[in-house]
Amino acid sequence: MYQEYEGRDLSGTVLRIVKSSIYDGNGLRTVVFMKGCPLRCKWCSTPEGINAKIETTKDGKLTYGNRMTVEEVMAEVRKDSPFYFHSGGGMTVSGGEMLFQAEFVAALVKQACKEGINTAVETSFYSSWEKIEPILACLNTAFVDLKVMDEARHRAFTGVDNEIILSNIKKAGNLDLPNFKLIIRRPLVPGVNDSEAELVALGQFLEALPAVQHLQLLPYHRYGTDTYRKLGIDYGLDNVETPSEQHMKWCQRITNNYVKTII
Amino acid sequence: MPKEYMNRIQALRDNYMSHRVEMDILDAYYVTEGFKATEGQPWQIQKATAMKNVYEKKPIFIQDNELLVGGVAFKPRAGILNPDSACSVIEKELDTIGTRKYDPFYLSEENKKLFMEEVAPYWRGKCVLDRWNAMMPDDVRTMRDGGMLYVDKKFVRGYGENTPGWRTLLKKGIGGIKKEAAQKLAQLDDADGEDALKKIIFYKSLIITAEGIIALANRQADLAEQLAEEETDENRKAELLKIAEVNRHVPENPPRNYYEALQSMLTYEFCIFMEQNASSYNLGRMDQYLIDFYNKDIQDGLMTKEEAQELLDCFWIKIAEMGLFQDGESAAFSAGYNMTVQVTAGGIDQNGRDAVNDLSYMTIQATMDTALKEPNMTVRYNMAKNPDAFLRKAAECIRMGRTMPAVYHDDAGIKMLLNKGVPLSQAWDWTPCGCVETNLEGRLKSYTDIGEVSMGGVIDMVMTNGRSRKTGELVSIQTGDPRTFATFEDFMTAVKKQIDYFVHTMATMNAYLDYLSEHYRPVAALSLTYPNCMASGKDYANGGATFNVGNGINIIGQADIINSVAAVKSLIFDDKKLTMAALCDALDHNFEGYDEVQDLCMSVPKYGNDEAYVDTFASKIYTYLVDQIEKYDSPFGHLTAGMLPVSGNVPIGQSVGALPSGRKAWLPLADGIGATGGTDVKGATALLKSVSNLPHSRFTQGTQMNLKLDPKMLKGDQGLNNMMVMLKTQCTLDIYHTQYNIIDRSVLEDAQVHPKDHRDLLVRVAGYTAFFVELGKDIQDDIIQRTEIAQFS
Repeated sequence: MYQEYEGRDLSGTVLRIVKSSIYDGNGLRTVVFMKGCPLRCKWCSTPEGINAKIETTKDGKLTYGNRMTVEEVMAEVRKDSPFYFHSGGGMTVSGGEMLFQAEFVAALVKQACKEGINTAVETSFYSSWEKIEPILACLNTAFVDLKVMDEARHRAFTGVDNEIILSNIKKAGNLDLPNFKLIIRRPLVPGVNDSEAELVALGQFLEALPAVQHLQLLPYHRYGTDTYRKLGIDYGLDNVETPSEQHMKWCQRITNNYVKTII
Repeated sequence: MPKEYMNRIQALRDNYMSHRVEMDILDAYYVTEGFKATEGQPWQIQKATAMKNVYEKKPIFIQDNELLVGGVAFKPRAGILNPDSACSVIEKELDTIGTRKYDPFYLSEENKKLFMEEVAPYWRGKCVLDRWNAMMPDDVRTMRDGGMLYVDKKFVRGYGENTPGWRTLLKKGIGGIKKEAAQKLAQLDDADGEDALKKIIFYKSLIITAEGIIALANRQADLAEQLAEEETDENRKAELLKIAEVNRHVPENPPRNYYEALQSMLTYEFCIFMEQNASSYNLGRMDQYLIDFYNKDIQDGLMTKEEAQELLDCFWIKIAEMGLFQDGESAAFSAGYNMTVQVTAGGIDQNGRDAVNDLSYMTIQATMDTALKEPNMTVRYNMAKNPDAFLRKAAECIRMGRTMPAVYHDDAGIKMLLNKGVPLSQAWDWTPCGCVETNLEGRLKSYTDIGEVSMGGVIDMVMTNGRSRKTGELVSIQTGDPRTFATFEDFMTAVKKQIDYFVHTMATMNAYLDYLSEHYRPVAALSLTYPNCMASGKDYANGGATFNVGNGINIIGQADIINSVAAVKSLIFDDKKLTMAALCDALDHNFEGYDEVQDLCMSVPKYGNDEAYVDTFASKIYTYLVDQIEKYDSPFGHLTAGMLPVSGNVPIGQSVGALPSGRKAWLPLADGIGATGGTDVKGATALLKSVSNLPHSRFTQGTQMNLKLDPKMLKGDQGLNNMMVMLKTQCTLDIYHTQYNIIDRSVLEDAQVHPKDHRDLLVRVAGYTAFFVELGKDIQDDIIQRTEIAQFS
């Protein structure tokens, strides 16, 4: 290949690479989904991203995951650069939890930045700050999921504590880096994290963080149930419906009192 | 709120939709009468007299609500026949023309009788098609009958595929041009020899034709006056008197205003169409030709913008009323009665500056308003110079499901003209032509599409060592039993030899086409507006235009050859997963009982996914191919190439057996320059990246790219922005052309079941638009199976 760089030959487990996405940041984006996640959100829409290992569906027809080097991923990412140019798009690293393979992702993001490609990550921030910081140093946008403010509920629905998540968001929210945007996302799951008290707590927490651009509320969807079936895993939230537009707006009005909120 | 003028447009549109497609025999009858009356005269004089006879006698009509008038036949949506080109077609198809699979035409018993008694006997053995059948060399016939090439269509219908000299028409009028011809004639003396005599004959043909055109316009004026007299509604009476005044003045004289300019263009368009019954008499850059008339009328307060739009919409509907008659087989190759009369907006002007003006937007608006299949609206998008608002207007029209405008990357079009030998100063004025070809207003001659080469056929002939899988007969050259190929290079040598032979056979056909066209296809009506025809004393058909370009060969089945070559390289030689013998066996059995082999074939990376392994062959094969085509010369310059498969990928696929790409026998080849339906799985960006590997600008007759998008993708402002991003990236990738179907698959499927509910459903077939329900079932199916890009991700 045409250039040597640090981390070029590191390898990671990539779930898949999706071209020309319009849902994961500005413009048309190439999304690199990494395998492996420490959380067990009951509503997870990408269950095939949870396991860090390469796995196969029960019928043997589909394999999830592929070992790739940073450079192999970059070769795919570069392919769409003319589209990034016109749309303001770029690369988004998602998961799973991309921090599960933080060293790999840091090398990837750094190299993409060096090549002038806009970078974003989608993460839960469930990791040590030492792993996060090098990624943020050359990143354009971090989309961080903050699933529940209430600690016990967070543990109940995601399987992990939120202390470290809140601490990392606080640190990132006080960073003063040029070109860095922090966007907080809340998947609204009816009955789980959409009470008034929960939303007020969320708003108050974010209000104090200058680097937070806005809060984005996402409606819960039952995407991924088909994949659960294929993998033979039980789906955790059987009786929950997608929130109505009206309810979404009600939630937005609450958080908007503290932090700019979009749906 | 719909604009008030839309009441008229809606009424005209309803009227249009109420007409069934019929066959007109009277034009052919009057042509024949003209030839009979001038027996023994030079062919040019006979043809000119024949056309004058048509213009003076053909039935004419003015319909309710019309502001612009005329027509090529006795009614709207009727096809005409040029007996001097292809009389025997109707004789052959007399009993099937009304029921045939593609583009049926209703023909009354009375007209059948008229045709058989008065027209057919005169032309037997004499029309261009019959002469071609008598002269056709055996090698061409064998390849044609084997389904490897399609070679007959230009013998059926004549010169179109040009952009007439609209500026000359509007500047001088037919009367002014006629006067010039008379002056030229007066300076000539037949004692100076044959060259002088040839010029004398040519100028006389111009004068005769011009008289006919002027007579036709005056007949239209007479009819309008007569109708005005009978009209009781005062508003309509005034409109009819205006029609009379306009037609009395143009096209004989230069137009005095925008209204007259439009009528002048329309009358001339109909007249040149009647001369040849050919497709693609392009309207070119109407936004440029008409802008001075428009600005003056607006400034002088003679016309409002709404009135200007209304007239443009009326013009659009009149163009849609023309319908192309062709033989059943040609119709299969470009089904949908398509005329491919192209109008283009935007681009740059002759000083290299942004050419977008009010009319650029209004021509697109006319397509939004009328929602018909013609004219073929396109834009020359010059990314460096044209404003985003213009691109946005185009994107809005596409999103409405109008299937138009198609979008050209302007710089690629300019490069194609340069490659045709046109200097840059004039290449900036290029016009798209027909489906996706390139042209120049009033200056350039060529047939842009003389016939089709089957690239699926090339691979078929390599794998069968020259034998047709349909008949077992030897149809091409023998390039060796593929089982004996020891290396990939051996295989490619065979591919190249087959390509050479296919091209050689097309070039052979082209020599006959040029010969017959020079002798039996004078086009005085068209030549009137080519200034260099006037200056040189030569008909367009004989090379009178400023620039003469060798005819264009059309290539079908790009993805089929690209994927097949990659599959052979991967499976047989690189990864050795299969022996050539095993592949040959599977192909011989059309993969039946060889599912594993077919799965292997399908597993090799496919063109359309931005994979270098396969895409590299898009560059290599097509560079080799165009190199071979350009080696053949003609009186008008070396031959040229394009990739505009129209709907020909369906019928031409019916002669091609199973291919290493994994495609089964007799199925359609891939459409346009895109991927084989269903094999491009990485979205729109990957598809365009693959397509950018073709050497577009070297295919100077254009490269045609169909994209089918789910309407949901283009929702809202963001959707429109995404569309604009795609179009801009097309330019960055140096891809010449893209066009769009924005329709739910379910709507198309419903239209197959309930055609009456979807009579005005438009689809982009190839470089043209058609009413879906008027297409043959297999072409409908082909459109449905094209990969629909449902989301950008």
